[in-house]
Amino acid sequence: MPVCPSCRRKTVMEEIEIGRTAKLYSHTIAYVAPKGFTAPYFQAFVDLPEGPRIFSLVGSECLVERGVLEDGMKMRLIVEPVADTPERSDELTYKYVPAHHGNGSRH
Amino acid sequence: MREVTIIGVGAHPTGRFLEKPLKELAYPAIWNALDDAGVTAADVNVAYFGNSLAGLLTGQEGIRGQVVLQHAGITGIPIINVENACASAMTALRGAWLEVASGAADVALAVGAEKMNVGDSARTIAALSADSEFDLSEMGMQFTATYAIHPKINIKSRMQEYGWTAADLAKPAVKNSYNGSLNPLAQYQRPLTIEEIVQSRVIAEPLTLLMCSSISDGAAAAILCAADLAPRFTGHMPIRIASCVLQSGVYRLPDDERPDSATASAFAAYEKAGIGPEDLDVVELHDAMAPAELMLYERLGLCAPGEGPRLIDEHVTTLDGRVPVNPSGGLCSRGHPVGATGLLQICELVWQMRGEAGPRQIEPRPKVTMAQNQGGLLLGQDSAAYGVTILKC
Repeated sequence: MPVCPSCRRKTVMEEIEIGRTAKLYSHTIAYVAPKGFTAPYFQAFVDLPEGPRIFSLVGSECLVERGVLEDGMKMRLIVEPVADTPERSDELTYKYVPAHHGNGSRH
Repeated sequence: MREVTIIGVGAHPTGRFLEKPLKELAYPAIWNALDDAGVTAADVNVAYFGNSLAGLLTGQEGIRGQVVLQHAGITGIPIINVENACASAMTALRGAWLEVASGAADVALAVGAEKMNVGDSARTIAALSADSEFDLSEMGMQFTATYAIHPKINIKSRMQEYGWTAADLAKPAVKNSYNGSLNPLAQYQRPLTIEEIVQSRVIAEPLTLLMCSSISDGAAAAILCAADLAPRFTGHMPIRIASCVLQSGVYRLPDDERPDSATASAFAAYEKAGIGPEDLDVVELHDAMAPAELMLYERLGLCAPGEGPRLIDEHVTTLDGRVPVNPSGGLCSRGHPVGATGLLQICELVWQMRGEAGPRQIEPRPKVTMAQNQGGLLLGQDSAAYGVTILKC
């Protein structure tokens, strides 16, 4: 983005690397999903320590059940395919899982 | 700027009309408006045509307005195509208003038309997803869920903060389904109870199916005329556009302290009209999900934060209340053919102000009214377009 969203002046925006942590701002379980995604699945917004609040899916290792996520909990960044369909299997994105999940472990 | 009046309105019933193409939905709305105004097709100097989804759903990406309006005999004039997601119709109205206010035209037509039922709801939902910034829908964001958890709406956190219950979230739908039951043009005409709304299928916690606006086909139109020329055409009481505001959303970081965009656009409209929220006699607002109505009460200045359910409990916003909200049935009961909704709101306000609303007529007749319409979702937390129109008579 060549324009700062806060002051709206043309500027040089500095790219920063985000860390691997976030805080869960809000979440819900959606029981209807767009094409390529399987319901039920989590929808979430997370706060990054670097400033932004972003939309995120929750990593597939996380069981989709009430009570698994709690707003305010610490989350950890993972990378996995964005959608569930084979056509998009090489399309990777960021997702978050609860920080207390071990690497790759499942419930 | 010249004073502009609405001298005619018309609508197609809202519902599921699988066999009707877009032009067949729009035609009766346009001609009902022309006949209502006492205006012929030849009297129309300019037309604005609002639609959101025809490009993706029917393949008619370009010249939508010219295709639809030629079928209705509106030809040989400037026709401007308007796409602004669920706020397309209010955007069309604003264009028509500016044409007349500026003196460029004496008589302008504003149309909103949408055909959403194409026999494949997955296609319709995919097309609707394109009304969010594309990156968001491609990465799996589900639109209903955003009402539950999106930072600008966050019904879930409001439940915690204000102690709202599932029953509170259902109350706007109870009220509006009753209003819709009195509206022969509404998609749903059966009053609903709190229990059946709360117990209907969960779409995204805490939102259930009967709290959601549905897939609708429909169309609406309005004829605008310079106030001093109106008596040439019509004997109807002139209804003046006191203000017509359109604002895009703004990019917000979590610590953004600027007023919410729905609030900013409504208060800009109040200021231009020289009124405040306390002067409103009736409001049609954008309840795409029923609990959003509770939030919009706050944002439009109708109540303090958290007090939304009380406005319904205490019959402030019911048909018999001080400021009835969504007498048409709103988006959930009258229906939400997205690119037509803003003008469907305007039709309802005009009928109420003229005393033509039949069994749902508000007494005494409203004199100061507001329609609030919004659409689209941007990366950066705001809706894409906020439209607010205030009418006076």
